[in-house]
Amino acid sequence: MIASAGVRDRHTIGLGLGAGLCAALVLVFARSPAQAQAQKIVPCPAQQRALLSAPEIKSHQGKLRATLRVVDGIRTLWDSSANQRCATQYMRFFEGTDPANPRPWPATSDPIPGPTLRARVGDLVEITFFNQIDINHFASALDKGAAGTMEACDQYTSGGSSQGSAGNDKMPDCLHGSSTTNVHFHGTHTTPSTTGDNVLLFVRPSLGTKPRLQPSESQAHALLAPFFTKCEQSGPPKLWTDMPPAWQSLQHALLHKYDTTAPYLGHPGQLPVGMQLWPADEHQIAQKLWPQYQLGANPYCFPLPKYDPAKMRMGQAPGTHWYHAHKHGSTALNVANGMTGTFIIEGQYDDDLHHYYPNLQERVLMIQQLGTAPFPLTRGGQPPPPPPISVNGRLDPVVAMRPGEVQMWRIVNGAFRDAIEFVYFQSQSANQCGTASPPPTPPVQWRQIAQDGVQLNVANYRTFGAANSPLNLAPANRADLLVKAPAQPGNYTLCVVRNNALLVDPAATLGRPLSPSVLLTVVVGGAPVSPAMDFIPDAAFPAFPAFLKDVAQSEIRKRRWLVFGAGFNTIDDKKFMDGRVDQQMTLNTAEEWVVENQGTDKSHPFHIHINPFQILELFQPNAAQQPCPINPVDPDTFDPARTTFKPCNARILPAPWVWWDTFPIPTAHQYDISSTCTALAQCPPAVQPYAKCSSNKCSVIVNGWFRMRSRFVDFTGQYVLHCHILIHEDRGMMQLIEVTSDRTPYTHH
Amino acid sequence: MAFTWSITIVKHSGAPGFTYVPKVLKDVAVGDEIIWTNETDQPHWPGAPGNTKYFMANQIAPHSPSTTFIPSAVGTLTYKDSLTSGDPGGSIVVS
Repeated sequence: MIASAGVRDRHTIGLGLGAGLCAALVLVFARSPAQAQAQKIVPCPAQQRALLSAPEIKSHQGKLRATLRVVDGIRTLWDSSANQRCATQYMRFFEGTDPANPRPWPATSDPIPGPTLRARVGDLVEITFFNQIDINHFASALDKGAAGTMEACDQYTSGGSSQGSAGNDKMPDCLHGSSTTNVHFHGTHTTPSTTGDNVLLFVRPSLGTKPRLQPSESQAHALLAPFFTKCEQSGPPKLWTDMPPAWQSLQHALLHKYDTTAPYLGHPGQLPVGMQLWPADEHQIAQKLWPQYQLGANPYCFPLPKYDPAKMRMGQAPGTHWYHAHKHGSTALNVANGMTGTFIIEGQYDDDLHHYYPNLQERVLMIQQLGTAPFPLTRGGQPPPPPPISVNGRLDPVVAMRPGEVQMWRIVNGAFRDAIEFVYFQSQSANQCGTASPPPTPPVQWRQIAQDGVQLNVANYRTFGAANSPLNLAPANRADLLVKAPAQPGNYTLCVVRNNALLVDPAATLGRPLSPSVLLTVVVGGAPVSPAMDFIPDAAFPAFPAFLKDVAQSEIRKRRWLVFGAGFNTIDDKKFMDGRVDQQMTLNTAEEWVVENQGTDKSHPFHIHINPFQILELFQPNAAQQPCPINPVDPDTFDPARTTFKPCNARILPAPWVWWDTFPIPTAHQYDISSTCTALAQCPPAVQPYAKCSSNKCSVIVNGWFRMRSRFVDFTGQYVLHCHILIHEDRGMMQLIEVTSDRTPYTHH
Repeated sequence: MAFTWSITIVKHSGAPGFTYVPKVLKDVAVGDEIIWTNETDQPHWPGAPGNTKYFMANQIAPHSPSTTFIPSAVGTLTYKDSLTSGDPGGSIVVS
């Protein structure tokens, strides 16, 4: 693999040194000071090259079997300017193979995403995951130990004076442990526990160096084979003791080896007990909990449940989902490194589409913002220019289409930070995305058919999915589009607007959406498609699954209000805390939540795992036209938590409602109420809790919010909700939540 | 956006028994991140003249990476191992 050549060389040398004096001498001179550095400034890759596709791993006979590795290697990255400064960089990324049809990972320095996984509703996911990162290529890479402090937040030194963690953050809400990871299967409706979509796991890097990693792949596969067989028969395990004894023993031995050899304050083998891993696991196992730390490898085995009204309240929605690293403290950095991949789950939706379009070509587009050091702001630097947006590892790639062809684009916004608004296509001969508004007749047209991996109801296909409707993909959002090429051959540019919010308080100093820029180029050429293609008509639109019916008012068991802070690290004025459950729901109930945003300059993208939700109502104080008046000195016009709140039917979205798993919370607006009061005591009593006064001026911040409904069904367990601007999640804007059983334990004593 | 750069400390036959790859790290910009990776069997502690902790707070254990150093100004930074006498050291060119 060319991309990892530098890594392989290093490991080979390491082995040679251990083999004998003669070999050592040869290899020492081979590794001379004249050897070129692995990371260096290089010419920037050309733009408008063909769109790359990540290798695909498909399920067979109801089982998605894959080996997924996180590895590191040298890849070529561009600076924020996209074409002025590029460098080869050590990056951490996913690669994978189909055990039944193993093929080498593509030899490319392009930072392509991980393998595209393709399964079908009803399948069982069986993935053996390996963490094979060489920690020596990255700073402060371990959660405990190597950082050398009990705090273990990433440490940095700058200018010889300032030392500390980024932003003076404290554990666990700081950047830390970036070579420890796990996998979040974003969009899956499955168990969040044990070997399911469990983001509370910490999978540590393997011990040793390639090719002598511990555990080895062959060892792990052999020891886990009986586990997967058992999982096929009886589902995911409940307890650690359900795992094969040999696997339990191996994990114990490896964790113990780490504990007794890891460095501490620059000295190996002196790790304090409080920083050791096995004692933590041992304690959890004794409590019949799933152990948090896994060393080198972890099996994922979980169903993608097919809806069966006799057994389930909901099923897995077929659609475009994705997977990414999700270890708290390193999610943003690892997603910025490229630890993402697309997860396509097929079902009746696909059958219906392909029935109408027998030759429908699919494109999988993973949007990324790639970087190895993307957070200078957290270290006292200036606000960084945003990293450029790439698609499948290339800037402005070319998508080939035939005249008149309709393709299906499965789009994932896998960026760690920015939302991407699709605004229009234009002919490449025009100024590149320089026009402020779409051309009257966009040459390439689209219609949206699914959101966040859930197909639209045909009623929403007519409106939400109307031709060329602008769509804004917040980080983690997905959209399936039907894209239709014009009959006229030519090159057409897709213009997008990067943003942290489309509507920003005019008084805010940050947060303005950027000017339109190029995401990709469609090159239309060749023979026109025959027969002619067009957007799928309503009558042929995929049938809507019964389990995705709207969450009715009558189902609502409980209401909640959540407030995302104006900054970057609190929900309900609290940072994430280990073990503290912030929201507890009862299994198989539905709830209605109002999710608020105090920020005037950014729409925190709200994301919750396991169950999707529907947006019923939007309150956007920064919208140009208010459907109902907002009076900043009358909280009944803006605070939905008040019992006297005046509902506004004009803000309620028409049913059927679209399903989402990530939604950007509208921004807040700061109103000057100095004409009413200039000191807090002078303000009307009802306004005082909302008002801030200083220097004879008072203002009220009116939060933006949405109202959503969700069903917490089919799966108990602990998981998380969080902001999907992932640096916010890492720094504390996350809550641990729990769905508990609705059954009463009943035993006789 | 910043880049990340590595300086590897490797065994070497001449005195003092190790060296740096690259010996002169170029192309670094203000705000980039730099780490040292110790591939030897001994601890090392790259430090500035008169300031052991200029680049990192603690020594680097054998076969381990350092914490992150972020240059804050343009110039050439020189360093030597604070734990080993006779180390000719290396340099970082920040431009």
